[in-house]
Order: sequence, then C-alpha cells, then structure tokens
Amino acid sequence: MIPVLGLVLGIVLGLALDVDIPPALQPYLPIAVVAALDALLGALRATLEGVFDDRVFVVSFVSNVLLATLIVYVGNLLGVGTQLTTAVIVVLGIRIFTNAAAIRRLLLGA
Amino acid sequence: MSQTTVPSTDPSLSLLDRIADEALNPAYQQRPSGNRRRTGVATLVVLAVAGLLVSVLVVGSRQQTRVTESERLGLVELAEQERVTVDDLEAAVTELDEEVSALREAALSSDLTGAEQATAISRLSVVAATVPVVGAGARVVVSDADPQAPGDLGRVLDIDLQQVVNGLWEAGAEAVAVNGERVGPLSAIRSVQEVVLVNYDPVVSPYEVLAIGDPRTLATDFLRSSGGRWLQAINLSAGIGFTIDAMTDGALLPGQPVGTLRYAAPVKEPA
Repeated sequence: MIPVLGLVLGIVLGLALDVDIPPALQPYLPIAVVAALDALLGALRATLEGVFDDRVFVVSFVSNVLLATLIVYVGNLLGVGTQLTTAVIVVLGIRIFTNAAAIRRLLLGA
Repeated sequence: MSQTTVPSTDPSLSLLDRIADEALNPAYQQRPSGNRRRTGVATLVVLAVAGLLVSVLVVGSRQQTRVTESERLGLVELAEQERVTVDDLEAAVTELDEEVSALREAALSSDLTGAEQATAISRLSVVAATVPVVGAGARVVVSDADPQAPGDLGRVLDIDLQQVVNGLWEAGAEAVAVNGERVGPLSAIRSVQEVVLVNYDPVVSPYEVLAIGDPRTLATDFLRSSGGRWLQAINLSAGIGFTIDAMTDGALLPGQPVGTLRYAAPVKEPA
C-alpha cells in the first residue's frame, strides 16, 4: 500500500505545485514519462510475480529515464531526434504492452 | 515465470522477440531470493518522482493546448476584423468612384465648353477602344482548313487576320474585336510560333471577328474590300474557311485597358 501512496503523493504534488518545466527540458519530458511508465509496470509485474526488489527498481527507473532522455538528446544533436524518439517509443511501447499483458494474466488468469 | 516464445525464424523479428522477452528487467530474477529487499524509502521516493513527472506532463500539455487554442481563436478574430476592413475599403472605393464620375459630369456640364469636352471624352474613348461598345454590324468567321495539313498551309496566319481587320476598317467599321479581344489604336495582331496573338493574348481558330458599323452595308462592303478579296484568295489556294454575315442584333465589344504611353505627349494648345 505504501508504494501506491508514494505515487499518489507525487501526482498530488505535481497538480498542486504547478511546476514550471524549463523550456530546455520540455522536449524530453514525454519520453521520460514513457520510460517511467515502463519501469513502473515492470515493478508492478515483479511485485505480482514475487520477485520485486527495491534496488533493481530504483536503478532501472533512474537509468531508464536518464537513458531515454539521453538518447533523444543525442538524436537532437545529430538531427535525428524524431527518428530516435520513435525508436525509443517502439521499444518502450513493446515492453509496456508485454508487461501489461503479463500483469493482466497474473491478475485475471487470462 | 518468464514467457515462452517460439523462436522466430525471421532474424528481424528476433530483436522484437528479445525486447518482449526481456520486458521484465532480467535483474529482478537474477537477484538471489534471500537478498531481496522489499519496498523501502528509495522506492517511495522514486514512485513519488514518477507520479510528479506524469502529473506535470499532463498539466503542462493541457496548458499548451489551452494556449494554442486561444492563439488560434485570436488569429480567427483578427482575420475577421481584417476582412471587415477590406469590405469597408472596397465599399469606399466604389463610392469614391461614383463620386468622381458625378463630380466630373457636374463640372463639365456646367458650361458649354465642358459639355463639349464630356462628349469628346466619351467619343474618344470609343475610338480608343478603352470602353465597351454595343451595336450592329458584321460578323466574319475565319477558320483553319485541315488541321492535318503540313506546314503553315491551311492554317490562319496573323497576316490573314490583319487583312480581315484592315478590310473591316476600310468598309467603315467603327469598332472591331477578334475573339473578344478589342482592336484599338495600339493593338497588334501577330504570330508567335504557331499561335496568333491579339493584344498579346493568344486566340485560336475559329476566329470570330466582330465589327460594329452600318449593318446594311458593312458585310457587303467588306466582301469587296482588300480583306474580303484576301479571304477569297486564301480560300481558293489553302482552303481557309470563312463566313461573312450581317449582324443586325447588337453585339457587345469589350473595352481594353489603356496602355502606358511613354513617348507620345499631347501638344499643348495655346489658350
């Protein structure tokens, strides 16, 4: 229950504080959020499978977000930002979808 | 507990299979089960950060949408205002045009000289072909003979139309137009490659030459003129088709804008 509380706390903070994202970071926020969603779903699946580990989750979350952002940043520098964004979205999308399907099977047994 | 996937034979798909297989971070399974640490403060913080990211993104993109929408509405409003301005200006132009005409008429009709000038202006604009004219006269239609004929044989040339127009002037025409192109003092009829140009506008066969003049005599006088004889000659030699009719119902010949006069200047009459 406590992890869910952390999530809710973050969401409430984001809504309440009206955080201004620096314009320089704005292009990377969506990709960072998708990477975060991927890590979150992975963690949920791991919890349901009984293999959740605090350290693995934190490391995978931070590295996921940073790596996705970095790839898009490098892509922007090289002028292929859009294409690399697509590549990152495809990989993360497949992972999110697979994990979501696994979670569905674990929860509903179908 | 990982999924079992049938290995793909297509190597390009094996990459996607691998992504799907490793959807769950393999590190989760590799941790020795005795060492597993359950939820801790770090997880809580990371989850809070994740929630913060999501909500900031949602709030930000909604604001963005709102800003874009208000900008769009602003532009629409601006366009509407400008359209109203344009309509107003157009109405003003029409009004001023009418005013100018009325004032000129009033100024000129005030005395005898002015009235004479007004009449002269309207007569001169008819001769100068700057205003549309209407009246009866004659219609001459000239058409190419056989489109398959080789070379220029059987095709109406600029010289043919020049002869027709000259013949019509000779026969007493007061206004002439070729396929709707009014022939004025500065008009030229000439060929560029295979196209005949009148007033620099291309015209094509059949060429309908309308002339305003005495409907009882114009057509017959034209037939006897140099233009009429020219047409009969090219009809015999090249098979150019032509018809000449008296035109009793009034036809409207369009006006033609005044070209810029760069060299000719009127002689000032001593007062």
